[in-house]
Amino acid sequence: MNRRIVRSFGRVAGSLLVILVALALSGCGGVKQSEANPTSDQKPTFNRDIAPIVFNHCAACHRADGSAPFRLLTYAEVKDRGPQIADVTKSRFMPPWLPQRGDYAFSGDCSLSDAQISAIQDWVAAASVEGDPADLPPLPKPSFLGKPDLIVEMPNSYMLPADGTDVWRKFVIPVPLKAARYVRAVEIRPNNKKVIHHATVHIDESGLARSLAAKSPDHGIDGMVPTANEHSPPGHFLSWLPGMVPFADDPDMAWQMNPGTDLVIDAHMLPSGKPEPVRISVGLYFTDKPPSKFPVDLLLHSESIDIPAGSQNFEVTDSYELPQDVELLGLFPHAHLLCKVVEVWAVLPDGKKQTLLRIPRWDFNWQNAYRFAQPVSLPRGTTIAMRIGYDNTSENARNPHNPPRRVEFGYHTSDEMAQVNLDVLPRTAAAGKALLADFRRHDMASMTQAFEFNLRLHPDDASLHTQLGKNLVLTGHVREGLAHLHRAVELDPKNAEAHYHLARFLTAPGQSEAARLELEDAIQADPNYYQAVAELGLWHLNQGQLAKAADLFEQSLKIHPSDAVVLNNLGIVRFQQNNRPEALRAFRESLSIDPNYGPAQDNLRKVEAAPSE
Amino acid sequence: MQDLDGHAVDPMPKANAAAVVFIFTRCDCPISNRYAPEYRRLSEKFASRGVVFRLIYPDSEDAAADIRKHLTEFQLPCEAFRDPQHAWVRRCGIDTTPEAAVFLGDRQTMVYRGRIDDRFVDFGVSRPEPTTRDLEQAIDGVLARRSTTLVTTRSVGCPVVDSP
Repeated sequence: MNRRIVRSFGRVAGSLLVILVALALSGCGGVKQSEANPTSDQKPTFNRDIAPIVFNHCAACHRADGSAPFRLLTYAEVKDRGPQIADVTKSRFMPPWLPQRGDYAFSGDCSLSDAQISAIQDWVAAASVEGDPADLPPLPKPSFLGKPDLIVEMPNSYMLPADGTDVWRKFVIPVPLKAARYVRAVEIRPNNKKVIHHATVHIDESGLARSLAAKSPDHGIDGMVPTANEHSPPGHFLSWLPGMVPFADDPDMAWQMNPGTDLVIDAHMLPSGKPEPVRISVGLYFTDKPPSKFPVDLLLHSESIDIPAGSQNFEVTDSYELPQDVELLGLFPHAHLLCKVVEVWAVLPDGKKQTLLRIPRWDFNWQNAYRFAQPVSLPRGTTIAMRIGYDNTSENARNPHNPPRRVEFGYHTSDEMAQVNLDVLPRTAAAGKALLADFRRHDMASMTQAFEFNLRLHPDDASLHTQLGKNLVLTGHVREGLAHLHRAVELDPKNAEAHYHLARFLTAPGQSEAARLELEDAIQADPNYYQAVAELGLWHLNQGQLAKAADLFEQSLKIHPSDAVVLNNLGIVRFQQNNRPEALRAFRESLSIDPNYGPAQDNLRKVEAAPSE
Repeated sequence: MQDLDGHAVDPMPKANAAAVVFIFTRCDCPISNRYAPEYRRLSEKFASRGVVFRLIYPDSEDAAADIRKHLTEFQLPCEAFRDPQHAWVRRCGIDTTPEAAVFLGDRQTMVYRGRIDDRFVDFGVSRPEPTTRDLEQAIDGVLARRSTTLVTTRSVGCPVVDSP
């Protein structure tokens, strides 16, 4: 288990809490429910019985500029592929929709009913009759959101090789914003839908992904491993799947994009047999209306994964009891190639079990976020639970290892994961904060268990000691936590993160000097560790060493310009240095990045009210 | 059976060969296209050993111009033929693209018909790497004079629909 993976555990517990499914989602475009089922006494015809099914369930991709390899828009085209269509609909490979129909409907569910599947079977078996032209329904019109307010594009094309297995690569697109904007919709626009299987978008306000991409000869980053600072916009999961139509979320749920934000596009690409240029652009739709609803994300997950070779029944579980009433808006499961089954359910306070999601045959290639057609009301006291099962035998053709090998948690496709993001809407923003705080308490405890599980597998992994140590201190087990952090720097003296967290937790009287030394070690190990640089600035500020503090804050801002907290701290130093204009500038800049940042609001008010000299 | 200039031809080579390999494909079959680098690899590996490769396009919609473009785009290394009436589809018993048929040097005896390898297990289910390279093994078998009777495998791809 490498450092990056473990380092990202913290990310899982932290920023992933606020992700959600706000784009939505249908793999197959808008589906009308007006299709007639054939009556049993009539022979099925294309125009009356089959066209409505194909137009509503297939045509969003199977059209001239769609992602599918061939068109299904006319009688001749459908007849030509009839046996194949009968085959793949019967096996439910097409349309690509993984969930079984459960207790609640999803929007964009493009799966076929049993009756529709039989109709196709009967039609193909009975000579694929065309039927009366008067019965033929019109083709559904693609829906559009209109012209985006801003279109940004990958600065460089990526050349997908002709050969080899699927490619997951991240590309970074800077967004030229002068001031923060509210985003109401994001449209991912692949230039080459035949090879771009799906794509997700995260945001990075730190510049880290951009600098990683700049160092890469193809301007891309390994797509399976999260870079340290990328995350979904709070409350929104952004993705593109074939056939997905641009979708504006609830107008009251826009999210704020700050200046300096980069989009990190994670593209899953399939080599086609010839080299293919890939250049993805993204359309952004803004609104001036600030959000009034604040959905939050809860992440059910397990990292306690150790799947023996040949095992067909390894599974992990996780659950959480809701401390308040919420509406569940959607969910987004994630696992890799060994995963077989994903189940998510709710046990209501009266003991009644409701299925939220059941995917009996998981397919990594068609993972998707699912949004309920109607939000599901879950009262306080409801337990939401997940179960994810794996098949690590050679019977699982997707098994990345031949012969099968023991597989543990990790971000690469040859590792496994187990996550379900739950997209919930609390009653108020304050309730949302309370919910996240409660969830975080619950999650820290389960993260401790996961770190301990993985430390049993890798007792000398410095990063695991760091994460466990940090977790233990934050949950009140200070002595044990510090012991793990000390063990981490003993195992790996260059572990910047371990030094940094040791410094943060060395707060007892008499430990101040030790904390400073740890921060200096952290910066020496990783000069771009802007949090450590800022922390050292804070240390000097607390010692009253204003000039040194200001230098360090400036240095941290050079590495990571858009940090509202560091800018606020810089403002404080400037004010103490009697530099009122610079203090005002720093507080205002902090608020331009995060207009809701309380300390900067207070400080700006105070300094503005203070008499100028 | 036609060549790309529309002349009726026999795709079987006139001269002796160590083995003859027909690969049935079509311009818009994604699974078949994904094998393009594998077709190149096999023809490079066996060309110097007297193995002749032929591409056959059974779909009547694939016009000669489409096929020429397809050969260039995917850098397909061998001579191509159209089989809109499915004469060779029937002769070899083909029902899918991609599918291969391997003949002995006598140009009469078919000893292999089926998939290129076992990478694709079903629609949407593929292995990260093939575990059996059936076509390559069949050609090796012919060259080593091991193959005498017909071996068949099932190919996953685009069904060849009856000719109009």
